[in-house]
Amino acid sequence: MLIYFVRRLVILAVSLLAASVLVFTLLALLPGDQAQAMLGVNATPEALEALREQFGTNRPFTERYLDWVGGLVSGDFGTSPLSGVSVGAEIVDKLGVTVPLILSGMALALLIAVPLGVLAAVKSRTLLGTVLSALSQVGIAVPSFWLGILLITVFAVKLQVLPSGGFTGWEDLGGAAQSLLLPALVLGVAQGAILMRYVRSAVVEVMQEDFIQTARAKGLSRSQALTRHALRNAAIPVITVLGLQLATLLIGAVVIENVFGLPGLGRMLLQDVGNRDLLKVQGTVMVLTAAVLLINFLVDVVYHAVDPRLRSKA
Amino acid sequence: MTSVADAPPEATADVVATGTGKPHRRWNLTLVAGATLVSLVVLTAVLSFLWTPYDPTRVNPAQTLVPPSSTHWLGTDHFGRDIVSQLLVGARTTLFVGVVAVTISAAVGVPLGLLAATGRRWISEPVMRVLDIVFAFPAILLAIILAAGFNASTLTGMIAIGVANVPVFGRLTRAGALQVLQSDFVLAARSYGRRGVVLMVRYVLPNIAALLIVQASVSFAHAVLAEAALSYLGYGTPPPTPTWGRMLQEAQNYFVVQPMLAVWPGLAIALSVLGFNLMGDGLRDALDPRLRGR
Amino acid sequence: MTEVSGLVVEDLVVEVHGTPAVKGISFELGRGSRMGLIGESGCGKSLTALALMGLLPHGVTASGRVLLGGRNLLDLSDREMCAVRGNDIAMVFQEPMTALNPLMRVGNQIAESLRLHRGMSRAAAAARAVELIERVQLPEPDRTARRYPHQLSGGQRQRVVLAIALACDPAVLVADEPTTALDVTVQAEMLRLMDTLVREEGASLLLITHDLPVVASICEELLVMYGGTIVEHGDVATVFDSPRHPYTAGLKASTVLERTDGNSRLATIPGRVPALGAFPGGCVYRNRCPRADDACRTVPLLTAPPGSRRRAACHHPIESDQSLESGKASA
Repeated sequence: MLIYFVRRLVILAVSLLAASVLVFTLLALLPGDQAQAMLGVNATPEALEALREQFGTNRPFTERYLDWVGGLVSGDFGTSPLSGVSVGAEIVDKLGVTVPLILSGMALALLIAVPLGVLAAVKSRTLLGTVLSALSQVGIAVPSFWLGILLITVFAVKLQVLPSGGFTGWEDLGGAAQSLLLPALVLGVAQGAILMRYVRSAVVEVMQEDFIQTARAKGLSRSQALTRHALRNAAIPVITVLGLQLATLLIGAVVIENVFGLPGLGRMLLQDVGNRDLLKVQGTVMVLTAAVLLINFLVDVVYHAVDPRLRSKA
Repeated sequence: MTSVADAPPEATADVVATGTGKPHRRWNLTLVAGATLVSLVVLTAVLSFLWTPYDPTRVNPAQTLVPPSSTHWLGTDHFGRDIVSQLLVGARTTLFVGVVAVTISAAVGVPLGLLAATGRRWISEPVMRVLDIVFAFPAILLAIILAAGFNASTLTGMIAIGVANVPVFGRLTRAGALQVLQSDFVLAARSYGRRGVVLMVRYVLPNIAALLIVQASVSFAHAVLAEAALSYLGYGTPPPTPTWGRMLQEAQNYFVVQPMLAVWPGLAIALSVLGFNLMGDGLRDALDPRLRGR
Repeated sequence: MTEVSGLVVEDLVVEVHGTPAVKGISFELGRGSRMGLIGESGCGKSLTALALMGLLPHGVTASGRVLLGGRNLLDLSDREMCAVRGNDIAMVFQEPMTALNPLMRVGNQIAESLRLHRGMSRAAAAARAVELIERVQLPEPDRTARRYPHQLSGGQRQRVVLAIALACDPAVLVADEPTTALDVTVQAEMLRLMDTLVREEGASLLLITHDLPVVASICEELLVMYGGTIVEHGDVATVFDSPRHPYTAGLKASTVLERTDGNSRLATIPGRVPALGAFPGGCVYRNRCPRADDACRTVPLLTAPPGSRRRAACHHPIESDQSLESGKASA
């Protein structure tokens, strides 16, 4: 287990490093000169050069990269030459919206997916099971931003019980919760529908395993066999999917924040791209990517902790 | 496939005995429903080349935000553009982006997956790790990064969606190929000297084709969703070409006046995605009976 | 535990989606007796076993009577049957590699049964589980109890499965191909162990297999099944020595030749077992039988010649002096 953990940790570190190279290179190679963008096409070469000097964009590629990564390691994401704000502080600030949004979305997704998925599996041969499966298919097909727009239309415009968007800040806890309710619900439904399918198929598959028959032959009822033997086994594939889902949830949040006008990481990212604030884009993308890699790492570790077959193999 | 033909009689009896063989009607229904929806989208796109009620890009200030009527079946938007015409032409963009994106994913992912399956660790490990890292960049994020340098276009969208799905095809191909490589008939083929590209193309690929076809259908659904999200965010096909995603984004500003404007494009997206997903499921059941009901 | 005399099966019919796969079989498994049920795959053996356990999969139904301790098990609700399964009647499965929950320590899997039927405390059940592990002759019972299935070999796992089955001293043990998936070297040990334990417990054993020598080694009585019917029944030695039904003779011939002369062509029964529902009318074996004629268009009854307990369902049974010849004929 320890050997596995260390090995996986090394892979994580290498992946993070590779991702940082990728992000940096990608953004550095993109056409579009920040100085040019700020000063316009009529700028004099001297003014451009001066601004590049100030941004540091005229220094060699590797030097800039090392500078940036060195900063990242110590938690310094640099200062945006455009807005003059600390990129790291901005990101942390926005995470205050995005992280609660994602976590509550995930929680809702689990609340939807686990009971309904198990039910759909247990009742897979009945009308109820078919209806539940069809529902999850519909849930997957509905684009989350569309669902968001529809919910806003119903709850904010027609019924006027919830805000249509925006965020009041965490000082007003009730208001913040209200602002996050619909976005989290949208994320939860979208991810829950996908997760439900995995839960269902995992449970259906496990219930056909021989050891379930052994459990039944011992005298366990169907529901006892389900709760004592099937669910834990079914959890293994579901955990894997859960990790991947957290990653998609992160991206889902980028879209949903824009639907609801929530001042989170995703909304900031799009604004920065619009303003060509490349250093902030770079920092944000790096944080999102690192989060995905970190989640995958955690999933793998949990996966190994749950499954004794993998645990002893190391 | 050979395994079914060579299976001892007990195998067939077992399927019946354990009751896993479901009535065939069921998967047929999934496939038929999916294929119907998909054909509907394809026909819509084809139709849009031949005929639309109006020019979808024609601005008509005298007829903005009109409700559905006999002249404009689903009404017009804030520029007075006909909704039906925009929906029809939108199907084109959706399909075009989907086809190109899935082609990119498969064309890059499948060879990489085969390469990673050949077994040599020094080649398979790096390939898989690179795929893992690419996997950490979802389509929308990639498209946004590309848009930071180039102007957002249909091309940046397609490339981003395509590249983001390469790891899916890569991993699937590798897993499928590893399984096929362990099977007896491949061992037999190896024993009389088949290896390398010939082994992969003649023996392995045909046996994972079913997997890949199913994945293509499912990936198509993902591509449609991603394209819609990108257009919605303003990072997809630029105006004036109508896309379902941007229609939704524009409708959002007018849903107090005309809430139905936000319904039609969303419905179009949802039905297309549903169609490709159902088709994928139906194909999976039809092509691989072992997975039926899962 | 209820005082049980033995297991009586009367006119058991098992239908798979409406198609009969077991066509009204009857037999009696006396207390403490050991009976073999033999036949090729697809002849209804496993379905019979699952029907006795009340564990038929969805779409498969059983009718008739399965009497244990005066109750017809087929009449019991699933809830009532849960109290019987593992307690009065237990089962050992074919596939030890998949028969155990991979995420649960084997000791707990054995203890579960005890806690369920005996209401034992966690600690008492765990202690008893270690004893049971010792009884099935696994090394280091204490440590083994804490192991996960993947840490054990196939033979060791099958011993665990046996320990689970015997945990509550069942009156009847049903073993469905318990050695088929094991290495040849381990098979004999496993059979001997099962024989010993069943004897010690005074339980009845129904041993299902396609392997005639396996039955011969530990059973007293033999049922031969084909096409969902019992085609021959008698004590092992007699049936084995002089089969009356041509199918039994064919089975024996294939086994005997296989064992005595590795170089000669393997004796086989011509054709293969038909798919479910595709068996011929009349005698189910007549499309593969060398002795079949028009008389076989009617269903033969399972009858015994006067003064004998051996029953065979054949219009043209082999007389004792013919059996050897018949064996050669089909070779």
